[in-house]
Amino acid sequence: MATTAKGLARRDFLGKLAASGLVIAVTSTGVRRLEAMERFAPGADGDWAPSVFLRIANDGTVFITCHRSEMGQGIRTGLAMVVADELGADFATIKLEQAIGDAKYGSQNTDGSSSIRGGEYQRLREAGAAARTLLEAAAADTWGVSASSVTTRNSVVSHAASGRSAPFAQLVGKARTMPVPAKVTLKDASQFTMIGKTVPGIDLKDVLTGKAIFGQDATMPGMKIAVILHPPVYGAKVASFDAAAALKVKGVEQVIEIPTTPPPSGFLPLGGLAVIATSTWAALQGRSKLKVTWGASPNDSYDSAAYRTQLEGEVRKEGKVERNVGDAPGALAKASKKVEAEYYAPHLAHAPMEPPAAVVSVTGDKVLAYACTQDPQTVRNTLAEFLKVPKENVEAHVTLLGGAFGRKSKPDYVCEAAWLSRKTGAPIKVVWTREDDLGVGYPHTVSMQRIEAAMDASGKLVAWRHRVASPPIPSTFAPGQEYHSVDELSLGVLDLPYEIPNVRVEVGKAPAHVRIGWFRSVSNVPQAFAICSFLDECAHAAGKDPLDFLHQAMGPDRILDTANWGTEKPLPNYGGTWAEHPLDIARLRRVLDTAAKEAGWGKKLPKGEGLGIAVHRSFLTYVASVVHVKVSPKGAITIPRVDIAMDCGYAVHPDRVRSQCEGAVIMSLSNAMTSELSFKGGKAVQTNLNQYKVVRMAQAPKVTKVHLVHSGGPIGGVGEPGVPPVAPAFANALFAATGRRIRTLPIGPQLAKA
Amino acid sequence: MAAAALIKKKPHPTEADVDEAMSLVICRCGTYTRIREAIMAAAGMATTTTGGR
Repeated sequence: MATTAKGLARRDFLGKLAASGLVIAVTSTGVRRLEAMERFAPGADGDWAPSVFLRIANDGTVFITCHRSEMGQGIRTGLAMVVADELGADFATIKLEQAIGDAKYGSQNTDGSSSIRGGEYQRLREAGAAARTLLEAAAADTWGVSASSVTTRNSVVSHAASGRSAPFAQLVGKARTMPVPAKVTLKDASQFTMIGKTVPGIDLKDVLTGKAIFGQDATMPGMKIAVILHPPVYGAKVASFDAAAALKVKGVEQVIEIPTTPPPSGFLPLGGLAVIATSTWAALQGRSKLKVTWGASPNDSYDSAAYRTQLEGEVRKEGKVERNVGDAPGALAKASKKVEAEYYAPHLAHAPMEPPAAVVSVTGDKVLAYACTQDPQTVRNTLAEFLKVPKENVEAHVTLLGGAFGRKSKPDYVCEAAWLSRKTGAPIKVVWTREDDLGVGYPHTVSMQRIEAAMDASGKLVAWRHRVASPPIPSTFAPGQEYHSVDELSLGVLDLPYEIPNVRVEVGKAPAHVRIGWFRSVSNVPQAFAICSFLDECAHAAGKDPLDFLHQAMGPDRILDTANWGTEKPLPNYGGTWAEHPLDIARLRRVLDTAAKEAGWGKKLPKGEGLGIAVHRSFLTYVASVVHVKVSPKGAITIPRVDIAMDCGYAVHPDRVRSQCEGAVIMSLSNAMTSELSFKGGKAVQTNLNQYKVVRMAQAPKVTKVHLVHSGGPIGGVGEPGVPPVAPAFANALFAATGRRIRTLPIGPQLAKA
Repeated sequence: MAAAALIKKKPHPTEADVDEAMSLVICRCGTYTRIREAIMAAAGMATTTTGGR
């Protein structure tokens, strides 16, 4: 029976290939690739499918569908274990399938730390529980016992009293005819076999043995490889080109000009010259021999140093008001103790280890796509609109992703492959190189912020004015978007949780000159850096211990009244409601105290060492971090230890929550210590990892301690909220160690002494 | 590969040796702490199986 299901699935897949006009080339590598890809094919007919996430074959094999993208965070394991636990399936024998892009799954956008929160966890539990209920009803009916007297474990339903048991295979036929229950009873937490426990990664062996298929591995029979020489400046067009030398390279077949999409280009191709070849190597060689003259672009003069000066001008004058409570300017004018500071955070690049790649076949109005994408529905919708074909004709498959961090939710590279496939009549694989990825991606915003605060004699904050000038993400999708958006400001700035009677938030003009994209933790990265650094500055100005100061600034434990917040429109809350996910000071305090206690806050350290602390809520999750730094007399920085405490409500897969926190620490330290994407003459200055630097092993903390705070609160995000507080905790630690305040990121050699 | 070469050359590496040997290896997901632990564990296992400890 297993072979039947497999055979059907395979035929189904081959049928789809045939339908899209492809010829199956049976080469040794081709066969391996096809078989591996079959795992991504949609399910066979004839199986019992009680949910879009779950079907059971007549032989009892359980197929679970993962509708989110795996980029190393472990979501394929996480979602599968939730369904399997509720179902009572034997996890070792389940087959995990990857969903194609289809609205029937609900959101598939693996972004915003949203794969478990926002009801996803509940939906998947219900899918497993509903199927279990029907299998148990079938068994109970067969045995003439009550449904409540049977139990399910390891894909077997048992009746303890009579000693009878039946594997799923014996029950599927009947279960599918049982009436669908009006209500499904979920397991009690005490009955969980996997949820809340550590489960080995389901793809681990395939990844370790090279069997796993990433976007850069995906192939289609008869495909050609395309490497694209993109405009180095956003919006530039090809003025003239000479492809003679490129076309002489063995394996290069064509050079095709892709029209430049005028900015804002959204998810559509940048344009440029595509070299079509029989191999990636030939395409790369061909590209290196292209001679091209680029036309003028309004972004030709983009210069990061000059732009910083421009943004400084913006935050030093009154801006557009986005939040106003009390009278911050008045309180600041008459304050006896005032602190003010400016913070700069540069553009960042996602720099996933696997640069983007996609293979697409366009045949008539049928489209078949494989890509390392964070959202196959965006791929499907974007391709349908771009190619002007019905959405139903676009089949968007998801490979594994070798990291993503937000880059791969933007399907411009899939559009490139589709456009070239239609143009050439062959399946086309577009390969982005490291230089493409860093040079012409979707940089994270650059941010200039100025904060001014007033304190009373007791060190209590009485006024706060925060000005932000930072090009917004909406500028990538619509003209005239020149101010940091409310959605972005609500990532730290507008939702400031401290007890301050007078608050004013203003934004300055910041027109974009590149495709601004979202990056892991989004504007929380620069905004938490500024806010948490500034609070530390205020603590020192008030002559207080930073931890004590934070407690005082938070005020008493309470739920904040976000309905009366001084903003024009209701304050956004990461897609959640304020009723379910309020700003809860008790939770903020608990993670702060946990990190402080575990790190030994207040302990005496040798000269040149220091502890820094920061706390921040994002993605509905509360995180605090304490960083311990050691600075040598010459300014060399080492990090003996980082403590990070997270309250995400409930950790469905604790080991993966820990690993996300560990990874967030490193990424945040890269953002703080080494990473900067700058522009000169409109072009990216850093185009490989020797220039766009990320933390290496020797710079990484010697010890990272993750402390999960199980508050039992509603489930929040995990992938992103670990990032924001670490960089400011690190900068605050450097201040404690050296007395030097870092207000410009990255720190780079700022502390180095000759 | 870098880790295997290190253990071959130096069966009892220190953490500093591991950091040095892995200096050219980039992990964007930030698993350095676990990689470092794994290499030390692997080195421990290698010494145990060869009776070197």
